[in-house]
Amino acid sequence: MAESKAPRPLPLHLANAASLWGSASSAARLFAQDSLIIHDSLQDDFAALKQLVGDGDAGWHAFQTDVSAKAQQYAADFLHGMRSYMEHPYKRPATQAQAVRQVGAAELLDYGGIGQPVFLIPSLINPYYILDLKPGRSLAAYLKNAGFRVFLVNWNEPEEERGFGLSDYILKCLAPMLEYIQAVVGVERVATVGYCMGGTLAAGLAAVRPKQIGRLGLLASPWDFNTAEPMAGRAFLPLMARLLDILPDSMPVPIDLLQVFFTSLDPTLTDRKFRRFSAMDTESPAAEFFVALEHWANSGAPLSQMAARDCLQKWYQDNQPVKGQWAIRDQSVRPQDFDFPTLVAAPTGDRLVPASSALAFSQGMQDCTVLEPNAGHVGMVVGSKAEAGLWQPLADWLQA
Amino acid sequence: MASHDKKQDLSIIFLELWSKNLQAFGRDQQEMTPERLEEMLQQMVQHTLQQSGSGRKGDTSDG
Repeated sequence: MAESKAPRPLPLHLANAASLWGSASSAARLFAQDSLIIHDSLQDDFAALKQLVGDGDAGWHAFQTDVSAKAQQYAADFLHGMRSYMEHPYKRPATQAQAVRQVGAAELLDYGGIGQPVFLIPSLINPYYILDLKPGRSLAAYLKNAGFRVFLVNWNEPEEERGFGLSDYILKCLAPMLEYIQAVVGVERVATVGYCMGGTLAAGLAAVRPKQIGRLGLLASPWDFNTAEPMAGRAFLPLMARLLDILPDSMPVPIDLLQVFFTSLDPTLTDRKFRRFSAMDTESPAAEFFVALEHWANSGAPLSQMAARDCLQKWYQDNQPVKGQWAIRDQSVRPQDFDFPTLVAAPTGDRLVPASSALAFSQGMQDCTVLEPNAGHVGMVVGSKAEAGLWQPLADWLQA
Repeated sequence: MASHDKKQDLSIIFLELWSKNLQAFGRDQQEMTPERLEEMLQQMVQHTLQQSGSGRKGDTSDG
């Protein structure tokens, strides 16, 4: 899977920035004329700014000139940041793991060691290596160093999986991998931990293979799709449903389409990120981390159309998991029935999966450990505070 | 010079608010219902009428 060297879809990000800064000068003129249409939530802030600019025509003229100049500078900074990113020499180091089992296009990576096995399941969207980003930013390496034998799924580009729904991924990919781990390590039960929708899939796996799971951890995994907090995917649901209807049957959902969804959560985020990057020393560790993370965020395989439909219909629309109605074939996925320890990590700053959505999994559970790291969806697993907020408590829980 | 710097700061604040303004309307659009759409349209019509009304007050042209 080739890593992207630009935010995707690039035209969307360029158009967003051009629209934002290209319209600022006109907006300032309308603001001066009291004609700018202002969102209710920002009326007070704009009114306070108006007071600060004052009454005189000269002040307003200077203000508009400054806005125009500053907007041009922001646009130039954005493009400079984008160019610096695209020219950055960083390449992801080769993984230290070996592919030991191939199931369809997916492969199981083995990090080696002699400890108890931990089966890590990443999301189907974006590459697996967010759990092994680079030295020092790797949950997989941390757990290995803590004494576990880590196995991690690399989904790869779907091939025969193009027709897979979520149940197929669980029964035809994850279940055989789980059996392989059992056999090769020689254990009856395997601790299984999933990240993002990988955690929701792990719960599905636990429902169909309850006697093979030793512990189950869900990291920032959605469970309640109808929380009071804004649920990003819900807003995108009608558009995504229409787009799925016009895709040819066998065509997986292109990664760019999924990236449009992520962009829609915060359309100006890319502009802010790349303007910040523009001011960074490109040889600094912080810049290298930025590039590593962006490469990951802008890469990924297309998603099988059936899996996308399952997510939309069974998860976002019908909210089956939290209602106990989600079933893998005929087996209901009911966490209350699990007889092994569980853990939920719900980062408090998660804008993709609200904490309340992830925490819903723990409701009514007898033996569920809850972690609430002060981090975002991605920062929780690779950020500078990931070790203290997630890796170490997770390792302690696995050890207990 | 100090005065000019202050105006530049205000331009930064404006651009920040301008960005947030677009985001806020974008969020509304994502959560749009027919009722909310009608309410927004009414607000915009009201706003436009007010603006054109205040424009006419000062309009002394003969056209």
